[in-house]
Amino acid sequence: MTARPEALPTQEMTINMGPQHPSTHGVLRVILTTDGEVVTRAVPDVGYLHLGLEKIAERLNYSQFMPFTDRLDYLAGMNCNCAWAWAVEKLAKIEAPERAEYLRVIVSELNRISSHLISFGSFTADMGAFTPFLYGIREREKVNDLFEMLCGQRLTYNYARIGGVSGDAPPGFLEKTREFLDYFEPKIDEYNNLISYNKIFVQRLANVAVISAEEAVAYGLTGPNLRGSGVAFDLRKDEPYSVYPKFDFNVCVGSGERGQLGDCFDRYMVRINEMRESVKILRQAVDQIPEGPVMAKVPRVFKPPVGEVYFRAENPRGENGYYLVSDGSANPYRAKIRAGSFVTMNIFEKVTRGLLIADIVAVIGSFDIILPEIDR
Amino acid sequence: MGLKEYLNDIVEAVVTTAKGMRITARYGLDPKEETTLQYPEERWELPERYRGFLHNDINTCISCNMCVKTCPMDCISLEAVRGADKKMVLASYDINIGRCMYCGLCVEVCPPKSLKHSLGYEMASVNREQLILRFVQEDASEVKARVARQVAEAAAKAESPAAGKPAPPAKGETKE
Repeated sequence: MTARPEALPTQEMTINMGPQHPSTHGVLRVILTTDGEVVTRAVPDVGYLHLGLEKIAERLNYSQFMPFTDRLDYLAGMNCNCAWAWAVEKLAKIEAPERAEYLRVIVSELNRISSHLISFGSFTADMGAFTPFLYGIREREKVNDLFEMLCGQRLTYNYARIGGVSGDAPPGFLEKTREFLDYFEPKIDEYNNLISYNKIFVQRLANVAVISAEEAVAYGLTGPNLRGSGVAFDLRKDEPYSVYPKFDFNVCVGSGERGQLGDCFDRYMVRINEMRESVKILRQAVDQIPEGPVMAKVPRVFKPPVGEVYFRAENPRGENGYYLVSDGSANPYRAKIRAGSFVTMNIFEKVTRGLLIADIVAVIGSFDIILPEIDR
Repeated sequence: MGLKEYLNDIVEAVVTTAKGMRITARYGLDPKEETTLQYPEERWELPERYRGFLHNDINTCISCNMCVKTCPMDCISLEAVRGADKKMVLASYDINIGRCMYCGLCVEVCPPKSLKHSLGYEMASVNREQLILRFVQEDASEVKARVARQVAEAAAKAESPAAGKPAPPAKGETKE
């Protein structure tokens, strides 16, 4: 800041952005200390959407908690469902049938696409382009139709079960998935033409809130936010679970194509490119899916052995981990949920220092946060 | 920034925006690309597995309490009494759909498959009381009184031919 004449004394102003603000993606309150248009400090205040999921998990048994994981990340319910199932299966050393694992991967990847579509849509809407949001919703609707056919719900799926999935793919599901992939893949290029490489959009995102690779790792970022900084870390590749090792796909990383590596634009592009990789995985999964049962034999009164386990899965918003402690009873003794969005909030104050108020919106959008994950 | 770069930026902004607007225009003008469904007039076709409001067929329900135990939200309340023929008789079966989260766990565990998801998804109510779906139309106390009467009659019948036997007093046993 340049020195001002003493005759005009100025002071910093503290303003609230949120909890009710359309571009905070829910009820996130950011306390901004501003010097004119420039933000000198932005402190996120979380906790407005506390669900008490971890406590609820202690009160319910392992299978009863499954529908609550839908609420952890309501845009990627399938991923959370499957992660919970994998965590409990790891604790109880149950192995789900192969067809169930394939179905889980199919729904996880479909949900990753639909989640990234919302991220793409809401991010561009925050940046002032409303049209792409409608296109994102239009394609997501098709994914929701597939899920509705598979499990009967459009948002809170409760599809995975401990030891398998709740139902086999109904007739026509895999064909419809293939149809969707054929329909969807060209749309990604359309999105790029529509908005991704729009000069005005690029200018708003390039070189904003740059996170270096070291910083991203130090702050524990995961998922697209970490990969946007150029760190090729993907749990599906680096700590493979389920049937992911059988698929050939690339880990998308930011390349700094329109600015510095690790800026908002890189994080945005990682998501766009990841949709393409998900399509790739889905094509292989739909082709390779074996026949067979979809549920392993699990006793009705399910009591895992005494022990503790940590399982992490790659969700659209980063690492979704469950730390489970079992005392041998039907309920978990403790269930700690690690969610990507919450950890991302750590770095928020650091990267937003010195930005303009309008850029804060870009930063929130590029992190693709979801509030139930932050407050759990 | 030089003047050349400045002008280049302007040109690029116009060109890329025009490119995007072309896509928008195509979708806006092509009638085949219409995706909106005029909701109350038109409706989606619901898949078989659709999880709408719960419906319990009380004629096949065996009052086993499995759904009550499985429900993570405790939205189902069931009251049953032991009838004259030793079978359980439902006194009341209420589902509070204000609490229900349509997870479908209760439907999965139901042994006689009497509890099902219907395809219904539209409902409005002006108070919370209306959100409780009651599947037994009779009042719970009436059912209990009726069953108790039947049990007493049956016990009396059993007692009269064999008066010497100490007949166990079969009373209406209540279960949650």
